[in-house]
Amino acid sequence: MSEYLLLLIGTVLVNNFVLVKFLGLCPFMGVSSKLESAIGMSMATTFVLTLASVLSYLVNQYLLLPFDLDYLRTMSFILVIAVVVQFTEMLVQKTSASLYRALGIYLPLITTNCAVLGVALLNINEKHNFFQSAVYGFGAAVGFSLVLILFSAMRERLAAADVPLPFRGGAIAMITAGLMSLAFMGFTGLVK
Amino acid sequence: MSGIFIAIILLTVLALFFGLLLGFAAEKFKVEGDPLVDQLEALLPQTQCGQCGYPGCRPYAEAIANGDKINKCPPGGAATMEKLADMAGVDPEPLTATEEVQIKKVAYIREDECIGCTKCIQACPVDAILGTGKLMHTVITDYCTGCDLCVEPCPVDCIDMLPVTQNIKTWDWKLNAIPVKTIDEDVKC
Amino acid sequence: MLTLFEQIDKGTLWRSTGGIHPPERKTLSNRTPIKSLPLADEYVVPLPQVGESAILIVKQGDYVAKGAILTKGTHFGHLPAHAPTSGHVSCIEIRPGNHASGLPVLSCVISADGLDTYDANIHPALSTNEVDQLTDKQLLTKIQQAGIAGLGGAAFPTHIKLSPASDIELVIINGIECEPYITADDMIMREKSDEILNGIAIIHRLLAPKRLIIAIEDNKPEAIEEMQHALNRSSLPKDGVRITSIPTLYPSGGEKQLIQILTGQEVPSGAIPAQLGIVVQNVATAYAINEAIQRNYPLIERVVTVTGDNTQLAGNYWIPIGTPISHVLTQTQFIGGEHDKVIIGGPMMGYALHNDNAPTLKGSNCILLPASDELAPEQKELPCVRCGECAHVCPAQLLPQQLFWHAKAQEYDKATSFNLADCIECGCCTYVCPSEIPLVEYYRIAKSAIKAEAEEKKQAELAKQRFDLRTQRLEDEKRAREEKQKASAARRKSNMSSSDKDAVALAMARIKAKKAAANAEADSASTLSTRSVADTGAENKRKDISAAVARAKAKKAAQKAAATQDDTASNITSSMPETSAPADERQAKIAAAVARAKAKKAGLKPDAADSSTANGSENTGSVNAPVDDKKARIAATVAKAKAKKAAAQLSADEADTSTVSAPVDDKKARIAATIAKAKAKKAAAQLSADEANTSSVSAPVDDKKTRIAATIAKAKAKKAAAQLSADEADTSTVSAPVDDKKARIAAAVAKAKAKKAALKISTNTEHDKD
Repeated sequence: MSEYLLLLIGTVLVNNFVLVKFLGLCPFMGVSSKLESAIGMSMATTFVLTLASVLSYLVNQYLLLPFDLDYLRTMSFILVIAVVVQFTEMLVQKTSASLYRALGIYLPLITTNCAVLGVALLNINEKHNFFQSAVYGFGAAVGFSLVLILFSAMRERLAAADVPLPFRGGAIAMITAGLMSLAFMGFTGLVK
Repeated sequence: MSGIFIAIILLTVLALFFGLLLGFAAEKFKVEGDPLVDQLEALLPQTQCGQCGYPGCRPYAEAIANGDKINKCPPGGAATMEKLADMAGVDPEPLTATEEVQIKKVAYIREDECIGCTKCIQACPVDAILGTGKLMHTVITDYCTGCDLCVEPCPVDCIDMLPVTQNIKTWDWKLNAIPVKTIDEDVKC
Repeated sequence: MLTLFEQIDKGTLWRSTGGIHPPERKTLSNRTPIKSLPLADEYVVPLPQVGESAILIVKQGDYVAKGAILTKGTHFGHLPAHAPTSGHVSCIEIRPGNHASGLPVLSCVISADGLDTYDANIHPALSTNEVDQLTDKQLLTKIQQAGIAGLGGAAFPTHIKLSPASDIELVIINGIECEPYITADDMIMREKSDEILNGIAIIHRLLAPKRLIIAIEDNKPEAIEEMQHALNRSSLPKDGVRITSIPTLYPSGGEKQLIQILTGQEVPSGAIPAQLGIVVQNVATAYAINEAIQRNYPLIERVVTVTGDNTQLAGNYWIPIGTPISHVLTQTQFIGGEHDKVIIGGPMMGYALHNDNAPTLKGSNCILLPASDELAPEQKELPCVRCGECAHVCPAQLLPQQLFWHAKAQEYDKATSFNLADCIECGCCTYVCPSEIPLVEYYRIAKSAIKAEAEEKKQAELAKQRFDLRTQRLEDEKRAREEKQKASAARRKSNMSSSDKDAVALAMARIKAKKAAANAEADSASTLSTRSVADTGAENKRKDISAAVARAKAKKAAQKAAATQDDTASNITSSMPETSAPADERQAKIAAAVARAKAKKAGLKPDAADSSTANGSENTGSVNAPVDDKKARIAATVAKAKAKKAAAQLSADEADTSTVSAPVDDKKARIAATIAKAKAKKAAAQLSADEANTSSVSAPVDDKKTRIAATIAKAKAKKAAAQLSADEADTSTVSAPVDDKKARIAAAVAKAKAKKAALKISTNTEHDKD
């Protein structure tokens, strides 16, 4: 049990996908200007990541490996991810029209979120079993959500702050992200 | 050789399966109409002025939902535009109209010049003009949305668009208030 | 565990959150008794004071006695305004208002006669017995009629507070007066304690609370003592009424803060104390209630603290409500310069006055005249350092820095989510802010913006509603019209089925019938024309061709009519003035040309001799006119209207002739005939001989121009263009044929001229013509 807990904490904090592994930076910068849409994005990504992680594991384990089709891994994973994303999109559109609008292009772009494919591929590399894959995917998603929400809360403050003119907008956001990344580096060594 | 066929078959089956899944989901989660239009319309000022190029606020809301620009509503001003941008999920853009247009106005009929032609009554989208044939007309200012539509049809040009005057009720605190500073802590008496 | 009332009886106090201890500086003004000022020359009573939609019942020049009612209103919350002194109403005009905005308000200005005569309604004090005999309703009416509003500053109508919907268990009499400098309540408690207690007794009687607390801050020991003595003397029940001394802290005088200190209960956000069974009244209000009940003396004066280093006579004064503040300044020897501030209210919550001529109001409890070095100098606003001091002192337990942040970024919805509406604008946060941020200013701006937004939203909702209703109505009308059209089309179809011969026979039959009964005919004529109008609407293509023919027929018919019916013609002429001018110019265009022709041929016109020479040209004009079927349709509509109006006056024979011509082209003829009749009347009534001439001369050249010319002529005639010379009319008409476009411009200009009587433009017009 503790193994799973450590895996979870490790993925959320120590090996945070965004701030430590630098995966999934596109939505991290893109959807973080408003807290509400960041929360929506977090939930959508969590859903996609967890599901994609599990499905990819299944596809790999029970379809690709038996038929010795390792070389189709990336392709079939992308297929899985695309389907899950498409499904999520329908779900979001049904449940919250304004969130659907707010997420805009970033919702279908979860497909190309490297964190999603990254998790699926890392599962194989790290030789995770089914449950480990699920926890790993979920942990990655929680880590992503955590930094995205924190970051968007900060950016909301930044919008009203008196920032020197050359640093306004994206520049100060990048600096903030860098500082956040430094802070998360501090978690290194938390889990042995 | 057979490996390639296996791969093709496998991927086809996989794709088919996922395709079916998505098709089922699309049917299940079908969105009736566009709820966004209602939300957008609620943001518009409802002047029905047609300055956006559409015959009313609802058509414009529909147009925005279909991807039209969000900056075509001068009566709403920048605030409405920002909210629309927010709701439609696009970036705010500067308004197409000039600053002058954005001051809230109401129509005023110079009553002694009015010939009672009823043309402005027909033009008013919110029935805010009162009057009948050959009798003087007047504007119910509380109902007037300042849409400008009555000015053009008037044959004797007796309608003015006057900016809304401020009274104590509508006064915006930030204007001409002289700040009162609190007393200094160090001064003791 | 003690109950709340037991704890109250013990004098338990609860801790309120936040608050500050600013320097009090009350000794400036509370060392001298309350004085009165000499009468001012004029008093300014702002009209929409408390309670809206009031009607002024005096007019300029009226004499009013001191305490006379000036306004009346029907609204429940209405409070009448009273004359603060006797004198005449010198004017009712817009005067500078006593408001932070400095915006002027409509005011009734009373020039004092110096006699200060009381109104007849004010009587000597009643005895306690007499007061006891009054019913509750009478008491409330008296309080309302006396115009009593909360004198603590908010000026909420007192009679509403005293007739709550729910049971009141606790009444708090607020003698806290926590704001620095102000001593008005302190002084009135010292000097008028018995009257205040009488007023409290009336409040006690009206609300019948279980407990009543008179709360006084412990920095007013004299007031507490006086009130205690008065309480011992009064008839109030000793066990349910007590005086509680409260530790000095700003802003414990706030209603919600005071309730929290005395009962430990917190008034929920958006609620009023009455929902907790608590009512808070100011001591000065209690005094005013006593005056109103015992003497019928309305609220026309109040104690105002005039203080600060810029006055040499700091103290408390009985100042009539409506006294110009400039008068107070002169009388109290204001020594400040032009740039020194005059602050209404205290240093924490007051606002600076824009214009010294503004009057005092019911809620003005202090005029603060600080010297330039008395208050902290204005300092540059520095960035927020998040020290959190403001959150510590906030009596409403809000997060001022958070509110500030969102208010500054104009994220008003977020500010609202941090309960901006609960901010009492006490100024504690501004006072303690080390960065000198005027926090309250930000909150006020945000609040007014939120209010404006809500107002806009409401307005938009209303506009939408009205727009929808209108759209609905237009659709209904359209449908009704279509149905009517369908019905008439069906009727026409059935008529068409019979052959032409039948039609002729029918017509002949009708002639006879009409000759027999003139009235019945008139009816049928109107129905016929209605039908033909519907027809034109449906088939305007065919009309194009036949319109011209119809015209000719109509003329013939008219001629016939003229031959046979001279006497009826005179009848029609006499009814001419009754026919009204056409509302639409377009209608007028055709109408003018056609009508004139008809009129002349029928020999109806008094100036027939003149115009008959132009007969030939007239014909061409009227034949040209129908070319455009649109115009013809309009003409038909006019005809319909006219026909209905004239129906009663139409002679049977005239109608006959039109029916005779019917067989050739039934409908068109009828239209033409009706037009002819209508036009004849109208033309004769409205067109002068001259105008007829000029327009008929131009007619042959181009019918379009004719129409323009006619319009111009008509417009001028209608407006009784006294300013316009006949020449002008002529030139513009003559010039019309030169160029169509130019002519239209000229026409527009001419019209404008007629309206605006701007003769200057005439030169331009002539230039245009060349």
